[in-house]
Amino acid sequence: MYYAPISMKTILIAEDRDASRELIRTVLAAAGYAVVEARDGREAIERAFQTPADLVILDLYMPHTDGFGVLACLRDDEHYSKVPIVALTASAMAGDREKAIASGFSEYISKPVNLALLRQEVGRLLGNS
Amino acid sequence: MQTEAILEALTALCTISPLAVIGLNPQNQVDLWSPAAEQMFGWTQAEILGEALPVGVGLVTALQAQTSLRTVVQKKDGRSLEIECRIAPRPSGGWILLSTDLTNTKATEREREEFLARDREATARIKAESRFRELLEAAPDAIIEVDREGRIVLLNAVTVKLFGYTREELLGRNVDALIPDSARSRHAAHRAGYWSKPMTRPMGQGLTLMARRKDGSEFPVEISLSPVRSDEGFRVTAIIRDVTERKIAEEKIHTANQQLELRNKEVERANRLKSEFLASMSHELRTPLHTIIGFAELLAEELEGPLNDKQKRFLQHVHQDSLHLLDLINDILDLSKIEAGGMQLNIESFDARDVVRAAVDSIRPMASAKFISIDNRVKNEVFVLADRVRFREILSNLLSNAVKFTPEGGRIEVDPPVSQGDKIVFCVSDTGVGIAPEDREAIFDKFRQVGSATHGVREGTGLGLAIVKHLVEMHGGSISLESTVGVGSRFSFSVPADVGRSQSDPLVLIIEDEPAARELLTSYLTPLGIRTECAATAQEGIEAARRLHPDAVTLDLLLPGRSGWHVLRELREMPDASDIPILVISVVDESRAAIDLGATEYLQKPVKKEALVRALRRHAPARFGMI
Repeated sequence: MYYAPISMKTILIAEDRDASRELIRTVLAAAGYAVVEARDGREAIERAFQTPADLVILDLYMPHTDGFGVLACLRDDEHYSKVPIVALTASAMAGDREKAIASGFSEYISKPVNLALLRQEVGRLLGNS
Repeated sequence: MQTEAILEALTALCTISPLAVIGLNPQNQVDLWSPAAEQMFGWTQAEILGEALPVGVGLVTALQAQTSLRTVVQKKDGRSLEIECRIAPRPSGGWILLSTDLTNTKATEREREEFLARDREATARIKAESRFRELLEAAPDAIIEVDREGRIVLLNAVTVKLFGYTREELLGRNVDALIPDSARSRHAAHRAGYWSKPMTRPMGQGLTLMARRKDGSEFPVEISLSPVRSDEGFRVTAIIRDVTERKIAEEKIHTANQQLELRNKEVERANRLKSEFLASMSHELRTPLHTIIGFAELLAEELEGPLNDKQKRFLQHVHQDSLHLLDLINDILDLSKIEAGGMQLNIESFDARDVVRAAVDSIRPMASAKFISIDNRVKNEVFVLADRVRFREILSNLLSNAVKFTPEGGRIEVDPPVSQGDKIVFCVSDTGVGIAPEDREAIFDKFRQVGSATHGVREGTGLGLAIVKHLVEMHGGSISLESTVGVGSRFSFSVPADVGRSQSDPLVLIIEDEPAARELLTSYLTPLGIRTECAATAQEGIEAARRLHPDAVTLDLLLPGRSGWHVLRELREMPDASDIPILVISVVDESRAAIDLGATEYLQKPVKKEALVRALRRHAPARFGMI
């Protein structure tokens, strides 16, 4: 029931909560993506440059460097200036989404995530929906 | 008396009389010149006897015309003399003249007048003085007059009361005594300054002035200064007002204002803290829910292995309840956003019919599960000015509420919208448990589900109606509720109509007691896109007309209760219904009377469809012309 695409796309997930990270990882791995994980903002930047990812999912509130900080750092890079970077957050105040998009995020997904929606968005952003 | 004696007496009289007695013979020569005449005019008897009257010949001629004459003549020494003369003819011819010297009389009169004038002046002065005194003493303020050296020369009773000195102690004392030690040294300079520009003005404008009592205590005052010119030279009148009470009141107001400001700041801060708290709370609650819901979904997808039926059911419970928890959190967040003023409406003009349809469609599965039918009667376009997302939220909340509180097999209706001024009213009614009158206000409160009504219903967050009410009011509309316990509820809410675009379908009010006749008329009109509302009694008809503002009314004359005639009269007296076309439909042929009473047209029962439509077109072409 698993199938691996010929060239596996790599997704970097930065999320400080283990449970949430495992959830996203499981869903995306099951959908056939290679998943790289980071537990905070600093680690996210390290991993991003170790393994160039095709898509990045950033929790907005993380220790050390938050999602906005990581985004700013990645967008400065040639490779990451073109890669879709998705904000993932449990915050749901008015204007949060606009703020994230204005900062340079490609998409904004609020927690709790609907798994079907997550798969769909990731697929769309990677151009293989 | 003998002639001799008379002559003697007259001679004596002439001699002693203070009046000048002058006799003239027919040749107008003086033949009598009394001692008084000598004295008055200056000529002696010897000089004048046999001569013409030296004081003016015209005098005699003038005197013949009147009994007495005041005139000025010249004396021998050339001085003028004012005299009064009288004349009497002598039987033998000639005249006797009497003359009074008016000089003394005049002087006396002048003296008297002068005396009277002085007296009047003195009286006036005394009067003015006493009026001034009265004013001075009646004034509510202390009034003192101070001379150039600063000595108090005048004061009133209030001054005594205010400063605690006796009148005697203050008179002649330097005004510095009334000034606190701290300001006294500067006062002489101020006084000198005032004399350089003496005019009426308040003293120490903008400053809090203090005065000093005899016992040394001080109190706040306001002082007004005016220069006065008196017989003794220039002086200054000072009006001194004790403003202790006012200062206390001002201080109180100031303190109260400060407290109010402080409290407002506290409220603002508390409000901000509250919304910050709710935002962070929502974030913290959603974070674990995210994994609970996510893993429940993941397990249900059986990617990690198949589940047995019991496991699937348990998982469904977890999933359902966690979704409910999410709803709750979202509602709380919504409400806190509304309350913190953080919610912005995105007002646009749109056809509410589409949104109603979408909201009804999305609630259908939930209703079907309880075998509840939903009848959406919003068939025609209706343009509103509202936030599309929030408008749908209002409807969805009311609909899901209706589903929740309606027992299985019940019915929910969304009524055709009704215009009400510049608003459009939407109604959602159900055949649910109903809401007791005493609970009708409370259900719009937060976290209130009304006792008996919620029996057996657990899905609610208790926030839905509070949010609905807030949202409706943010749009400038209002929400109301009619309900009968055990029968059902009907929520009506209004939002602004887009008056320019919203040409709702014309409405005909049918007032008719026979159901069959009602149905017939409705069946004529509905297919033409005309809305109909029915009333079965006179009273219902009048109320419906008042409430609905129909475009036309059909009226049966034979109604239970009050007659159709009564309805006709009532409608014509209604200020905003007086020009609505009223088509009387009756078996009785009373067309003349009906028209006289204000009916627009009289149609004989049974009425034909064509006749009805023709009448509508004729009398309200703007609303029925296109049909």
